[in-house]
Amino acid sequence: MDDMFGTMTGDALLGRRLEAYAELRLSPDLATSARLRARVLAVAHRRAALSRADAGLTILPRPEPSAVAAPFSAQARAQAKARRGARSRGQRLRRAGAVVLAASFALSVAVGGVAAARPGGPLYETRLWAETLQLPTDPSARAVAELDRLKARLLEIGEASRSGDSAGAMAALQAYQSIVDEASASAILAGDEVAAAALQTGVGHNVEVLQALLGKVPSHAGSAISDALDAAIARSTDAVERIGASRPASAPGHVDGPAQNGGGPAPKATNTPTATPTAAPTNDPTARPKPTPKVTPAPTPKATPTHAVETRAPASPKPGHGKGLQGG
Amino acid sequence: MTLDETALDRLVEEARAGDAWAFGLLFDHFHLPVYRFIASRVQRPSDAEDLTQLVFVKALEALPRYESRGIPFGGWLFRLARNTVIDHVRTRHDHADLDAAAGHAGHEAGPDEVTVARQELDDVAAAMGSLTDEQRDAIALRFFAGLSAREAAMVMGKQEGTVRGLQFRAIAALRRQLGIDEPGAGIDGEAPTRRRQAR
Repeated sequence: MDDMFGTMTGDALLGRRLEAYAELRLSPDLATSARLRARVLAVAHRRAALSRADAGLTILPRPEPSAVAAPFSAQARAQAKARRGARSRGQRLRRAGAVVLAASFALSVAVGGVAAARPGGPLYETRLWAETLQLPTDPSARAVAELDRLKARLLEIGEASRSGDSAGAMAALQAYQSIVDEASASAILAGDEVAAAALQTGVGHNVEVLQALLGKVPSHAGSAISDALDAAIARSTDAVERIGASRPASAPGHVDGPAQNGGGPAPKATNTPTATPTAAPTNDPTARPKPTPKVTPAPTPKATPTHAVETRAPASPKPGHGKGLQGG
Repeated sequence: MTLDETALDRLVEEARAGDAWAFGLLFDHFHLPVYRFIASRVQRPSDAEDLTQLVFVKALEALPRYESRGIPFGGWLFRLARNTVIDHVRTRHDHADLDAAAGHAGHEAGPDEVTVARQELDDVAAAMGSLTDEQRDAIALRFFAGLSAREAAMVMGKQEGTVRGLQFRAIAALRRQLGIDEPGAGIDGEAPTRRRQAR
């Protein structure tokens, strides 16, 4: 920023002060950047998926034979309507149940006092449970919502820890660990690439936040909080690794370990990697990470014993980007 | 990450075509200056985070309609950011936020601030709060977001000379507020060199 000012002393001093202000007061921390990136890219990926679906290039459920045979028959319409009705009835019931439960919970909180729903309070578990009722079913949206819940827990841990509320901090830490376990298991089960990427990035940065919290535990708070923070860090790291391991190794952006500092490009799903070799590395800042090469077994014309030698196909560029950034 | 104009244009084209990966790279390139610009106007970090997210989601939605007719993508994005901030301030009636920035309620000093006198940062916040909205925009776009005077003018919908004037008066006011000696000739509003050469 200095270069925006002249070389005069007063200007340079003002420049330095504005720069320090921008750096320390106006810049997002790593966790914020990671959250922002995960959310924005979740939207971007969803839009991209919709565009592909519009173009008829993606996975849409195959229409049922009856619907294909007589798409305009009254019977087919009635059947489809009945199916939609059954599905939406279930969704409506679930939604209505959630609303009723949320309303009951809100009422009980109002009656019992907000303090009861704080970490360690008698209604804390109920509050956590009520949160789960509002989680979306779409895997990537759910992952983002779970990251929000984790963020809320981190805030609670920080507050309780600062105020020396050991019981509250322990309760929030326990809840944090449960959510990490549930969210990672759910993302792995769903096999959703966006959800996995979002969680991997978000939880990876939560590890950094937890480590920072570990350094700020007041001495009077006792070692229990520190131990619980250690456990939460270990659980988070484990979750990040599990999610990483669950993602296909051939998927571009597959990472082992915590997130890429919030600045790394998110993985891009590719369905049909081409086998065009690219020999020369590139310094292009916009170059996409190459998919991990597909392992192809060596041809064995005769049944001779091998030493499990595998030949790896050369890395292939991202499909559909033949015009790529390097190539102009 | 530094991207030259050509690479940016190509990314924008790919993002327009629905390429999420390309949009991710655009996000990586622009999210810090956009966040800084927004944070300088709303002060509350949670608002800055929400609004930054909103700006990029709006950009994503509006991108298919974006046409680079003399307006670079960065300028277009910051115009979106500025309009989003204006809407937010109008809706929330929280102009007082900046005026109250001297107190910086809710801000917790991070570890980095230990090494920098916190009072100095509070002073800068208070001095920024003393500027007019337009002066504050000029400073935020030029120095926090790193735009050129021409780009800042484009974002603010003003002539370049007008923005230079706003910047000149803003810097003079900041110097007065912060007790920094006048250098004499002052600043003519031109940035000698650009930090972001690529733009």
